[in-house]
Amino acid sequence: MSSATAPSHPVHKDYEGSKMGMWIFLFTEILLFGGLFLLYSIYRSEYPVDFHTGGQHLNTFIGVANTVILLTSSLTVAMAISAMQRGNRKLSITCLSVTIVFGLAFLVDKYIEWSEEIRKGVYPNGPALAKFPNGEKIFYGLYYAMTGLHGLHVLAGITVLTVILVFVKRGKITSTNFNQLENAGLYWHLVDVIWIFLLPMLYLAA
Amino acid sequence: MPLFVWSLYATAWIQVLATPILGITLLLVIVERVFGVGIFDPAKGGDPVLYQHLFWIYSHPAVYIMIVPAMGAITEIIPTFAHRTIFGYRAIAYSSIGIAAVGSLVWGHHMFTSGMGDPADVIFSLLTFLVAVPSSIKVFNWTATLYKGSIELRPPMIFALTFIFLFCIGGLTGIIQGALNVNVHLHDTYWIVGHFHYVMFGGAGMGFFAALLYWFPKMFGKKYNEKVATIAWFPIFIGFNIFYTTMLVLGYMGMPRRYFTHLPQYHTAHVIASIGAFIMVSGLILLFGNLLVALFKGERAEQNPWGGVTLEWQIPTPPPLENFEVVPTITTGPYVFNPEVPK
Amino acid sequence: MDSTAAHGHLVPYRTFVRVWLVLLFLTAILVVASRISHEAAVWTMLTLTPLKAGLVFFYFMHLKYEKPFLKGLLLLVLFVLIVFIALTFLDVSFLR
Repeated sequence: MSSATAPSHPVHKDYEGSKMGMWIFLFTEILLFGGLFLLYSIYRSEYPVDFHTGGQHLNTFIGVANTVILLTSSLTVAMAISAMQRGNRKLSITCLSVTIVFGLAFLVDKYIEWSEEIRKGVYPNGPALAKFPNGEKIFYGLYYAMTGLHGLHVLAGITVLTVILVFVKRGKITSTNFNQLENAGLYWHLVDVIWIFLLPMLYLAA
Repeated sequence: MPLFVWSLYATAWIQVLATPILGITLLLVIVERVFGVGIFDPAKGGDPVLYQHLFWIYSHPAVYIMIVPAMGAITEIIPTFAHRTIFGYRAIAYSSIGIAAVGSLVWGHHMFTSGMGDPADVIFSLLTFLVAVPSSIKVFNWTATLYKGSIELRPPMIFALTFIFLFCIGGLTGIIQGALNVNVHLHDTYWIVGHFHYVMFGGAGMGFFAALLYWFPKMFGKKYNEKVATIAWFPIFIGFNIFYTTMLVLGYMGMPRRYFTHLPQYHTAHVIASIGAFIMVSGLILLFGNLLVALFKGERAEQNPWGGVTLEWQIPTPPPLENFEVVPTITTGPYVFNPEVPK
Repeated sequence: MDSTAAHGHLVPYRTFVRVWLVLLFLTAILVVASRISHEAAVWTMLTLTPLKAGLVFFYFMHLKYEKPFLKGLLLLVLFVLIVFIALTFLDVSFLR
């Protein structure tokens, strides 16, 4: 410390503050996607038939498969945290790795799904979409916007979890110092919660 | 907790809740432009009024983000220069939260002429009238703090009182334009421009100047020339009012916003407003020039030049790293003035 | 500052697995309902989806064991979102 008057002390660790900070960030994410949910609800009330048609055309199998993947990845990340709390480093690493693999699987599925739609010409400004009624244009616009933004968040989550995995392996995260892992888990769970809403909104009950 | 901190807390909540809506709105505009999505494009089934809703859901709370901290600073300054404790601590704290809460529900008042349904018009107008209540509560409390106080008209106080006056004019003009029938005539005219300059500049701006003048000695450890700061106030205040009252008049005379030219009948008023602007700016140059000179050549400031009783005045000027050697023990409320303590 | 004291509560692995199974089960109901009829799909969406989300918040995100203040904040945020949507509907529903 350069100042003669300042006391020197170790860096504060604030577990409660850190967790609260993550939750506040999650609140901003809820409102971010909330804006899209607002648009979805208004447009759905305006174009109920077109939304239903659009929903029928989507690949429900991939949608449900992705749901199962994300729900399971939520399980594994929760177990990773629990394992770390109990000092079981090996199990924690395994569960974290499985979570990351599931996340990647989600993105691969998403790629397959989108490629299918794009090949059929059903994308913004695409040839097939141009012939659809306006309500379906809006539906697909929202579909791409919502799943696209969600996919970006999955990618961000995978990146964060990978960094956390490296920290665990290096021993930076331990059974007494694991709130970074917990916070990463909280982020991942929110990504899962958003998908929980997207599934029926777009695929099942449009 | 000092009331400035309360105001920052309320502001933080508005920021957390409103900013993501702006984020998603802008993202969607980008997606519209780059990928041709058409979410707000009527040709593709979209609704531009929905864009307006999303835009204003953020942008109205945004103005409260700007004014609430200024109000917090004023709440610190008035007790110090009236040498009285703040009147109605709880009322001011809760009204900060109240402004944040109700202010997040009034966004439709920017859209009265956009073709919203009638019930929406009425509800948003009602909520707009309601949001004046917590703001007025603050004004009453500041005024009550002054009552029977030992008032010292030093530069921060002069600008704090100016804040109250100009913010009231801004707020009242806001109520006027919140009335549906009147809004039809005033929307998108210079009245609106006058209104928001009164609240933003007369409000947040003057509040900022007051805060700057108040905390300058503490921040930079230098004294500025109070006489010059006081003299600077005159052209600022006079120029400001000539400038923006003229705009209010121009507005209800019918001059629209966002036109690059104006009809001949508005010309005189524009000349008057411009004169006001130049007067005001000369005052601003004086104000900031004074501070700049003080920054480099000012005398060393003492620890507590204003006789304030809040924590920042109990530490040396400028503050050392981490402010306090030991976390202080607080035994009283934040604005207790002990008459025995010398200024 | 002692983090073990703050982290006190340990959730058994069993709980997580059970919640996961319930989530899968609820998803299955949603899929089946969507095959039955559109109305069934919408009703299950409106009831079961918040329930699924709630389970993830409460158990996976540990919210059940957190301070009531945090639970209150989450409710506040959801309430704010609902109010935004409701007021916007107030406009759109009464046009023409």
